[in-house]
Formats: sequence, structure tokens, C-alpha cells
Amino acid sequence: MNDTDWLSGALAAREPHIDDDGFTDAVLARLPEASAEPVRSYDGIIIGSAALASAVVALNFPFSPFLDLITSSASVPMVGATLMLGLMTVSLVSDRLKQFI
Amino acid sequence: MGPSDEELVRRVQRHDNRHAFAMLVKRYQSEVRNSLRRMTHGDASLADDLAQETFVRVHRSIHTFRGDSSFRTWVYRVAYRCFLSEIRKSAPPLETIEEHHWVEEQCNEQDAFMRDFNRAMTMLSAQQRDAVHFSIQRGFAHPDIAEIMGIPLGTVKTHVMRGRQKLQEMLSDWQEGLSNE
Repeated sequence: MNDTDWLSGALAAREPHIDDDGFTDAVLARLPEASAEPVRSYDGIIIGSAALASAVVALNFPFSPFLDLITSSASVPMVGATLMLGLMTVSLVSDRLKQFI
Repeated sequence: MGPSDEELVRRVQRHDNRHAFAMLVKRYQSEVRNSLRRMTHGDASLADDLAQETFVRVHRSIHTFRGDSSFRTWVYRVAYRCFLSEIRKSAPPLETIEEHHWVEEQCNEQDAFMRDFNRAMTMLSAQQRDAVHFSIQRGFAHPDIAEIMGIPLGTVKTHVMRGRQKLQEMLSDWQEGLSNE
């Protein structure tokens, strides 16, 4: 062994291993409750509230003028494109909402 | 050979997986507790309290760990901060009240080399001692030690070099015998 590593070599195997002996359990006992459940509860509350609000709006919304307009003037591809745009908007908004939860 | 540290950390970050975190604690508890016992001059009770606090803090901030350094280095950085917080609030400094205790404990184990080594370590400055410990006994590279201790790389190099020199001078009588083992 040279001058620079004889000390490292001499010390390497001399440190005793400390048995866990309940140490890890003591650490785990000090951790806060797992956060998965509360997040799921919040998810449910948000989604439920949004669904309820949407249902109320849908029941009171005057759809007939829009339906008349669509059936009288729009073509099938245009209706399809409009639906696609609507779905994309809903998807983007829901993703954004999830980030804020 | 179980899952890597990186894999276990990922599981904790994504799912707050307590089993994965327990595996990390079991993997490092012995060496972290040994290091803290050395830093607290053999006060096993205080060292274990600090080690517990270390792992609780690691869990609390594990979502901020990005893997720029190894997980082991990061754990030691947290442990060293816990230790520094403790010595800031304790007066008089730990080394003046516990030094004798540590040396006596080693005498009882009849490990003459470790007794002399620990005695020699007490002759170094606190920062030299910690830098030498991380370098010689834990095998950390100088940049890792700089990160753990929160001091410049150049300072670490100086501490390790001078600390090693002093230890080798003080323990030179052991060199021949240990080299022949």
C-alpha cells in the first residue's frame, strides 16, 4: 500500500455495521400520512362538482335555436369539425384543471 | 442486489411508495448513523435522533431530488445539515463535552488502531475532520464532499490533503504493521 491509501485500507473494514433494530420503523412512523388518498378525494370532489354544474347548465340552456341553425345551414363535415373542436377544448381545460388540484 | 437507488427514488416520487423508501433507509442507515456517531463524538442517542431527522427530511423533500448528484451524496448533505443545526443550538460545542466519551468507548472494544485513529482525528479542526471522514472513510470524491459540506471545492481539497498528512504523521507507527496484514 502506498502513502496515500494505506490509511483508507486500514479503515475500510473496521467500521461496525449498525443493525437496523427498529430504526427504519421509527423513521416511517414519523412520516406524514401518504398523500395519495387526499388527492383522490379532491379529484372526486372537483369532478363531481363539475358534472353537477354542467348538468344544471345543460338542463336550463336554450339549445333549440342552435340546433335549428345547425340543421338548416351546416354540412356534416362542419358539424363533425365543430364537435372535434369542442372535445379538444374540453380535454385541454380538464388537463389544466388537474394541474391546479 | 435489489433495485437501484434511482429506481427506488422514482417510486417514492411518483407514488409515495413507503416500501421503496424503507428500502432506501435500510440501505443507508448504518453508514449514516456511524458517520453521525463519529461527528457527535460517540453520542449514539443524539446521532440516532439526527439520523432519524435526516431521513424524515429526505422524505419530505425527495420530490426536489433531480439526480444531479447521487442519492447517497444527497442523503449525506441532509445529514450534515442536520448535524450543523444541532451544533449551532448546542452550547458548549459537542467536541468539548463528548471527546473523552468517544475515546473511552473505543478503549473498551480493545481496538487499538481505532482508538489511536479517533484520538488523531480529534487533533484536526472540525472541518478538516469531517472532510477527511467523508474522503477516507466514505470514499466520496472531492466535488461530492464540497456539496455535502456546502463549502468550496478548493477548501475541501486543502482540508483533505492537510488532514491526511496530519493523520499519516500521527499514525505512522501503524503504517508498516497494517500494510503487512
